[in-house]
Amino acid sequence: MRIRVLKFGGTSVRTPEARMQAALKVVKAKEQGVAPVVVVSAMGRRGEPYATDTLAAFLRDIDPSVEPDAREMDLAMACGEVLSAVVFSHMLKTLGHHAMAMRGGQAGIRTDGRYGDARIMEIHPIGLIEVIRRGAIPVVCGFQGVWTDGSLPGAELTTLGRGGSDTTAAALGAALKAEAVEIYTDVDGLKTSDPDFVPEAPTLASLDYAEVAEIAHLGAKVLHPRAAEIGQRFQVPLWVKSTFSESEGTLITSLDPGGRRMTGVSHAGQMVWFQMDLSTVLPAQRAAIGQRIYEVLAKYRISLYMIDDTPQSIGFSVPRSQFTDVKELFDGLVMPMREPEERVYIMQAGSEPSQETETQIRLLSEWAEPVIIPIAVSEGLTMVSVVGRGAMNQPGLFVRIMTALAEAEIPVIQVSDSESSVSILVPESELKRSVKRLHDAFELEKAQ
Amino acid sequence: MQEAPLAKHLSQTSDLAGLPSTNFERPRGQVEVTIASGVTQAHLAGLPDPITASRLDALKRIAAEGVSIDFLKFTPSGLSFVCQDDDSAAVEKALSGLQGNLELQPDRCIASIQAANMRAEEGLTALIISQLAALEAQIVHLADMHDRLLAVTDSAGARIIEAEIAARVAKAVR
Repeated sequence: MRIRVLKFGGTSVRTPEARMQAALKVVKAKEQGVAPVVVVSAMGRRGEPYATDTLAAFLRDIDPSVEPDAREMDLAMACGEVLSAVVFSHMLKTLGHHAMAMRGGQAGIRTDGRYGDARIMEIHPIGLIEVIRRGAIPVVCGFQGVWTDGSLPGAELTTLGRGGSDTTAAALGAALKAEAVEIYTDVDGLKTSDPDFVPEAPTLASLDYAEVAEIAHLGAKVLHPRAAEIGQRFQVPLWVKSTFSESEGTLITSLDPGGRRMTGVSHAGQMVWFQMDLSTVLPAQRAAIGQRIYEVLAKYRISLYMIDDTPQSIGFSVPRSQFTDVKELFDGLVMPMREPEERVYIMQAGSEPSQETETQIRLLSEWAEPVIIPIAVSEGLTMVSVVGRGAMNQPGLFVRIMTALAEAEIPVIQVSDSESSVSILVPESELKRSVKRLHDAFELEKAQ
Repeated sequence: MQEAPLAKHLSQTSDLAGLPSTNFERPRGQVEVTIASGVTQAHLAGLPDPITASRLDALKRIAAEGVSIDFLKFTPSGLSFVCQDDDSAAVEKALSGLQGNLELQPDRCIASIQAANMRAEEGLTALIISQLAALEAQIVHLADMHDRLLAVTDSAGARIIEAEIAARVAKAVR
């Protein structure tokens, strides 16, 4: 039995017209002799009545100072996909096809127990196979699964976190040994860059799984990297296509490992750079200070980018949304050390101590002279990345990037590289020019 | 469809043994370590102002020698990077005419600590580094990718990381 998974994102199921276009894609697949399995996201995007964010706001808006229970937040958010699946299923019925809306748990998706950000552990697709065997089209709620906790009656609903519906589709494709997973959205496929910044950015015909995971992690929003990772692990061909056109789209699969090329230029959101100057720290205490800093970052679940950790300093950038948390965590943080000699370190964000830090220093001075660890904070930054396949270890790559930006007088705050990308931190005000300059420098308008 | 007791059938599936199932996403905190040896850590400091032009000049000189570098980082007065041990003489030659201090640390290893989706798991990168810092390994440089950390260390440090980090991270995540 040939099975194909078709996943429709929020914009593809947002309006009756869009849903009809999506439903016709499903019908076409069935007419081609394929058994379609549909996965749907919630209808619409942020701010729209049935979007996931709107449903979450029902709880958050009651009292913003009280964090909603994660379990109940999952129940609220999952309603969006349930409604979307039921509506889509009924639309297929009106077109003359048997269909059945199924929750993630009914589709056999078992997760770990972390509400709000669950990982898929296994899939028991017998229910799905049974529905298909009976000639019906399963319409599965994306973004959700279940886990079983012995202390609670029945299976607990969990949501999969960001990009959850893409992850659902890829995982079902793997479990069902589907011939392909098609991710439908409102663009023609993966482009070499953001078309808002580079209108001439071409659509790529094919990408390697690792390339798409890299580019997705670095800011491209068309496919979630978790889906790419599952696709790679189970060798499921993934397509990114438009619901609203008949264009071919982009195929994501295993490409020639020897092949090399530049793939694209992506950009992430607003970032803030922190640079902790550890030159005042005794070498024998450097490791313990570093450990303490990273323990704090881990405890408060801070996402780190572009880490630069040397014996003299620790630098990293964080998303703007976590900036206040990080600043409050470290400004005035006291770290006493005993071995090999007693010292008290205190961290200070900015060139002048805050009132809180000043108070800490005054109080500590009665016992010992505190050693200041200065933290330089650079706000208003963003990360732009050049992504490539097998092309990052060429002599002169950094020269090409830095020259392109220097000629445009775009300052580079920091740089970070991997085997498949080079990321640079630039002022947010220079985002558009940076993307365009790099796209031009690598002649990506010719990419295929 | 309407007449079949499918709902009942579906409700029973979680209790059925021996159904086809697949492990999908690796559990949080499961890391894999690979070690690459034979690299040199380079630190170039004390470059003259304007620093942007000086850094670019240094990079052009290295490229002109046909040397590929990794882990490039900007430092306050220069830059640091990693190259193959075999290329360190060429790097030294390329940068010899520059105003600045070049320090080369040969015979280094790169410990690559991979965890699926690491960067998207808030706090996981920091947790792994905190566990690295607790080891006796001397790490001279750290860098990150979306799914791995790269630690430059000596061979003894690489052995320690390879032997201990996976268990430590798994325990910390639990």
